[in-house]
Amino acid sequence: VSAQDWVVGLIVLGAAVLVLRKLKRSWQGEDKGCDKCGD
Amino acid sequence: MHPVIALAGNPNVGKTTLFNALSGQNLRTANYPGVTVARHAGLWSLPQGEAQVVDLPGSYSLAPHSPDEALVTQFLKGEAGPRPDAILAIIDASNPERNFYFLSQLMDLGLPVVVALNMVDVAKAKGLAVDAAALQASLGVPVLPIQASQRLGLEALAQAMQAALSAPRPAQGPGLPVDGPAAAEPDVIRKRYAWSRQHLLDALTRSPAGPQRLGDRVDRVLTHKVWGSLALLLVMGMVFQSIYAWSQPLMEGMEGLVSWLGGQLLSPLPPGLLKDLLADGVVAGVGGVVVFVPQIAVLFLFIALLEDCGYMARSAFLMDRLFAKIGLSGRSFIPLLSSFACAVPGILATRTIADRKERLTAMLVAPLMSCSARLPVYTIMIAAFVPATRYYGIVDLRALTLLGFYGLGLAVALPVAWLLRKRLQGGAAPLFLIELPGYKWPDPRTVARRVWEQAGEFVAQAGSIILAVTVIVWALGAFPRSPALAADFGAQRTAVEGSRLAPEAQAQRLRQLERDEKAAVLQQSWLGRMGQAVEPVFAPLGWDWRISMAAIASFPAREVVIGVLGTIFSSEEADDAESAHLRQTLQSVQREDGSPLFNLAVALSLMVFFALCAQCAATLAVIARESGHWGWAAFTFAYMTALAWLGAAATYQLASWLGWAA
Repeated sequence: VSAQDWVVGLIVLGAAVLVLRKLKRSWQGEDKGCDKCGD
Repeated sequence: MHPVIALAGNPNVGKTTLFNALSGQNLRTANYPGVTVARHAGLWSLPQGEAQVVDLPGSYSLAPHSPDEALVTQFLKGEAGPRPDAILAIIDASNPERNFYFLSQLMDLGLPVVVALNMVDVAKAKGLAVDAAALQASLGVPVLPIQASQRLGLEALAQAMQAALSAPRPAQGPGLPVDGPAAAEPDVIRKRYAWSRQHLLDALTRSPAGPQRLGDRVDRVLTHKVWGSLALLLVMGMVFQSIYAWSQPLMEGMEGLVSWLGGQLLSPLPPGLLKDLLADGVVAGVGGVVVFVPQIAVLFLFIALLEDCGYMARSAFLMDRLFAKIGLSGRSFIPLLSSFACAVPGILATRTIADRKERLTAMLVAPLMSCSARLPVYTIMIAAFVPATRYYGIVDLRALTLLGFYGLGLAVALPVAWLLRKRLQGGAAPLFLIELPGYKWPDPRTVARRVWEQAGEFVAQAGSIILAVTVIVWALGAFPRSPALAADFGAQRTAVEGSRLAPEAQAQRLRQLERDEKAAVLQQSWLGRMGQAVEPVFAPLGWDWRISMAAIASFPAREVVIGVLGTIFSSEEADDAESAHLRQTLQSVQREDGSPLFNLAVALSLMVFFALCAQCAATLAVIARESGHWGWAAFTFAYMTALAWLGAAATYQLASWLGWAA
C-alpha cells in the first residue's frame, strides 16, 4: 500500500465521519438549516 | 452577571433591526410580521458596562395566541428563567395608537421601561409627529426617538437605559390586570385603549389629511383579487426570467473558473488513486455544485428585495382567499413563502400560527415549496434538455419551465393540505388578520447581507456535506478493484501502444480504453452493485442505476445530487477537459445499449422527483422537533417520497407517450 493510498483512505474516512456527524446533528435538532432563525 | 434587557414590541416594528444595531449581530430581518419566532441574546455596550439584550418575537398582547407569543409572555413574567431587569419597549412612531395597547401591558409588569420611538422618519412621511418629550413627561418613563435602520439615536438610548438600570424604578401603567380572564374583560380592554388615547392626545400631531398616499393607491391594485393576482404572477414571472437570463453568463464564467482551478490542482499530480479522487470526487463533484453560486445569489437578491420592500405581506393577503378554501388561512402562507428559501426557517415560522392543527398542516406541507437547494437541479436539467425557445420575443421557455416547477410545489401543497386538514379534523379556516407594512425602498445593507450570507452558506455546504458525500460515493464507485479487470485493460492498452496506428488515432483509442475501464470498474463496484439492486424500483421513472444512486445519496441535502452526478459520470466526460462541464456530460451519457441516458422525459421526471421528495435531513429533524414527535417526520418522508415517485413515474410515462424520450 503506497503513501497515496493511505492519504486517500484517510480522506474517505474523514468524509464518512463528517456525514455521520451531520446526520447526528440533524437527528439531535442542532442543524439550523440555511438560515439564522433557529433558537 | 450582566443585567438582562428584554426587547419587546408589536410585530414588524424593527425589534430585530434594533437588536442587530445594539449587539452587532446579523439576525435576519424582513419587512413583514412574524420573522422572529424565537428569542436571541446579545451584548449591548452601555456607558458603565455591558448588558445582555434579548430580542423577543413580536406580540400584540400578553395574552398569547400562538407559540411565539407565549414565549414573550413567559420570558417577561420570568416563567422561563429569571425575570429581565428592564424592558426596552419599541414603538412604531408611524402607528403609535396600536402599539400603545401592548405598551400599557408592559408598563403594568412592575419593571423599569425605556421606550424607543422607532421609524420617526416613516411617521414624518405619513404626516405624523410624535413629541417624545411630551410623551416622556406624560408616561413617566424615558422616551427616545430613534431610527434603528440608520443607527440614529442609539447613544441617547444607551444612556437612558443605563440610568434606568442604575436606579431601577418600576414603570406605572394603567394598573390593570395583564393576564388571566380578567385581562380579557371588555372593560379592561376599553380602559387600556382609553389610557393610550389619553397619553397620545397631546403628544401626537397629525397633518391635515392630504391626497391619498401613494402606498394606499398601490395597495388598491396589488391587493385587488384580480389585478393583485395578475401582478403576483407577473412579478414571479419576471423574477424567474431574470434568474435565468442573468445567471446564465455568470454560471458560464464560474464553469470556466472551476475548470481552470481543477486543471491547476490536478496537473502537477502523478497518476494514481489520489489524483482520481481529486479529479472525479472533488473537482467533478464539488466543482459542479459551486458553479450554481451566482444563481443562488440572484434568487436571494429577489427574495430580499421583495421581503424588504413590503410586497411579501401583500402576497400572503392575496393568498388568504385561496387558502381559506382548503381550511388554512393566509397566516400559513408566510411560513410557506419562507420555505421558498429554505424549509427549516419556514417550519420554525409556523410558530406564529395559533391553531395547532393548522400549524401542523403548514409544517407538513412546507417542504413541498421549492427551496433554493432545488434550484441547481432544475437549472442544470433545464439548461441541458429544455430548448431555448422564446415566445413573442420575451417569454423564455426555460424561464417558464423554472416558474412551472416553483408553482408545482404550491399546486401539490394545496390538495395535500386540504387532505391533512380533513384527516386532522381541523375546523373552518381561522380568521386571518395581517398588518400590511408600509412600502419602502429596500435597504441595500439588509439585501446585500442576505445575498452574501446565503451564497456563503451554499459554498459552505458545498465544502462540507457535498464534498463528504461525493468522496464517499467516489470510494464506493472505485472499489473493490478487480485485478482481472485491470490486467485485461492493461493488456489492451499494451496492444494499442504496440500497434501501427497513427499517433492521433492511438491516443484516441487509449482515451476510449480509459473511459471503458472506468465504466467497467464502476459497474462492478459496491456502488454499481447497490445501484443495480435498486434499479428496478426506479425503472418506471426512466432512470438507470446511476441516477437512482445519485438520488438516494442526496438524502442529507438535495443539492448533493449534482455533486454525485458529477462524480458518477466523471468517466463519461468529453475528451476536451476545458468543455467537460456537467451539462455537456449529461447530454452525452449513454445507456448500455448505446442510447442517450438523459432526454427531456428523464430530465422532467428527475425534476418532478426533486420538486416533491423529502431529501433533506435537516428539514425532517426540524419537523420532528417542532411537532414534538418523530412520527410526523417519518410521515412527511413517507408521503413526500411516495408523491415524488408517483409524480416522476407519471411524468416520464406521459413525456414518453408525447415522444419526448427520444
